Amino acid sequence: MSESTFVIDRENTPEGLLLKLQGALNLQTAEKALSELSSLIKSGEKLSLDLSAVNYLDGQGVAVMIELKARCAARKAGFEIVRKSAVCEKMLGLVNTDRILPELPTYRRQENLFEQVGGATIDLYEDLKEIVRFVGECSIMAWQAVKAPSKIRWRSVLTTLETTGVDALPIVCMIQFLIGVILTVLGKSVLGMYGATAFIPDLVAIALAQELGPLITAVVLAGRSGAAYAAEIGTMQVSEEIDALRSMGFEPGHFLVLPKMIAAGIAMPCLLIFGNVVAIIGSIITCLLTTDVTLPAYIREVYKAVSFHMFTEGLVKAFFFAVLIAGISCMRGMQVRGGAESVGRCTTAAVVSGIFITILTDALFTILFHPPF
Amino acid sequence: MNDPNSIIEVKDLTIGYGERVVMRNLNFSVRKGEIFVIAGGSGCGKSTLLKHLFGLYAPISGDILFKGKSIVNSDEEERAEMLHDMGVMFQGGALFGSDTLLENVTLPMKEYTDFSPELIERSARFKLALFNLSGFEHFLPSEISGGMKKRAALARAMALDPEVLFFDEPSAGLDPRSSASLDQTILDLNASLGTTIIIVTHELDSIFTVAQRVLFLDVEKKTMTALASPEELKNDKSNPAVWNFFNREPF
Repeated sequence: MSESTFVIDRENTPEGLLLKLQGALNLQTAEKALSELSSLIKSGEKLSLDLSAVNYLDGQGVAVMIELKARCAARKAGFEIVRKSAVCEKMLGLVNTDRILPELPTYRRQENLFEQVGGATIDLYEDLKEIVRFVGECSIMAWQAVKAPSKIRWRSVLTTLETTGVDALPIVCMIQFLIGVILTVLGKSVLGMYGATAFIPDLVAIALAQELGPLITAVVLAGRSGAAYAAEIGTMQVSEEIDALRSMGFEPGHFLVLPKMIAAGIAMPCLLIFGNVVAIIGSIITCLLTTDVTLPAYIREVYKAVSFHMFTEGLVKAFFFAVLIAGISCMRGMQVRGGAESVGRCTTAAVVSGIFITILTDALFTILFHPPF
Repeated sequence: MNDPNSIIEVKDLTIGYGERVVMRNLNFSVRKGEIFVIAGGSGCGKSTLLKHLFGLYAPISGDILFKGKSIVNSDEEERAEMLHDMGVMFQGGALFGSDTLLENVTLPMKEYTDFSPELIERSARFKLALFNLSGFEHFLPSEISGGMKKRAALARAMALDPEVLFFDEPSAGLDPRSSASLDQTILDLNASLGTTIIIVTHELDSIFTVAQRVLFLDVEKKTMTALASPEELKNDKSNPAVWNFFNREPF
């Protein structure tokens, strides 16, 4: 690259202004050159450039020429390059600048708040429509599976059951153990004020069986398996595997989504039972170490507090949370278009949607099982 | 059906994504047992057209007939029936990553035939051997080379011995020798089984080796501008886009 000096000599001619450019028009000088040259544009007059003394012109220099021509056109001024050095001839000859000029992109205007809210609302509406459509499709698939269980890909169900259930057991148990400890410590600090530490087992058992157990397990499932389902199906979408399935006459929903929904629906209640048992163990250990509640008293209280109805309520919730998380995660995977960036975006969306739909369904179940009116 | 010799007929087809038209006014037919190439510059809509031909995408307007029956207006069951007569080899192979090569090939057979597991495995091993993949039956797609993936994908596409085989850019990413062997395989399949073969490619060597007729898609005009043998197209000076393409003229 040559030295970065750039000089403009002006000369008034009968046709307009003739500018003789000297030196290098490159990355270092482009910005200054464009602002100086632009300031010399006069409406209705022709701007002629003599580039015979330009000894270096790079991509930025060409961009200056293109932009200058556009600015001249915008101010109804003429533009002409009257002479070119060999370097300029070569560089400007590489592309047809006349063809680039009319195709300059019109940069997207920054949307104002109302437009952003409107756009987001439309996106939300489209998303909800997609969810409703997907739920409809899944319901049809589930009905067909009930009518012909032999057509379900049970091998795939078993494989997914292992990754969703067995492999998730350590993390679920660890989290639930800590939840048991936390609930006990909290219970002690609140109930202890009233001398009611004997009711800590009731608090822990009811909270776990009815609410916290299914909820915590569902969050783990959404973050762990939901993300995995979305990423798996999304990657299959990118590598045309979904297209390949369709080309062979397989319905991807039946082939990929249904086994995952069945596996999640089986795995989640099992995880819940294991997780709750471990949480109770965590609570018992904390109780024995920090309170005067004895082991037989603890077990007696748990038996008294948790009814069969409560236990089944937790299991029913867990089943529905799992089916919905699996379904929505697969749907997000199916929405992948393009490449890796889209897989990442849809995987994130899968986790967020999974957790959101869990909380929403939990609220509905709470109203259903415990009508407020 | 207008032409008794045609297996696929395309009528006034307009294709695209949403409202964006990629190609319009497409009218052509593919004859039984021929090797038919869809050619054109990058991004002109060749692969999109191919995916419409086997019913993966729905067109904006127009119709596609397979053996006289509309793919576009068929119900799910009819389309599944038609798809049994078609095999597709996707550009990257699109093999199922969690399944071995043998499982990939046996999958369509398990779903669509009443064969015993032994017969299915024998048949799948034969198909893999046909494409020089003996000994790799239990490899995962991630454990084999790009050329092998393409051959495995071809073995899977051939699993049900379809009447029509679709190839999306078969030579893309292959070295010249692998590309030449794939071309030879295409010729062999066509000669020995009479399989109708539809290929999307812009590889001139492959086109001149295998194609009997070439459909040229013009990206500027957004429609087909030529349909003839490759030799005829190479010498056709009346159509600059076709001439430039077949004679490797730079832009």
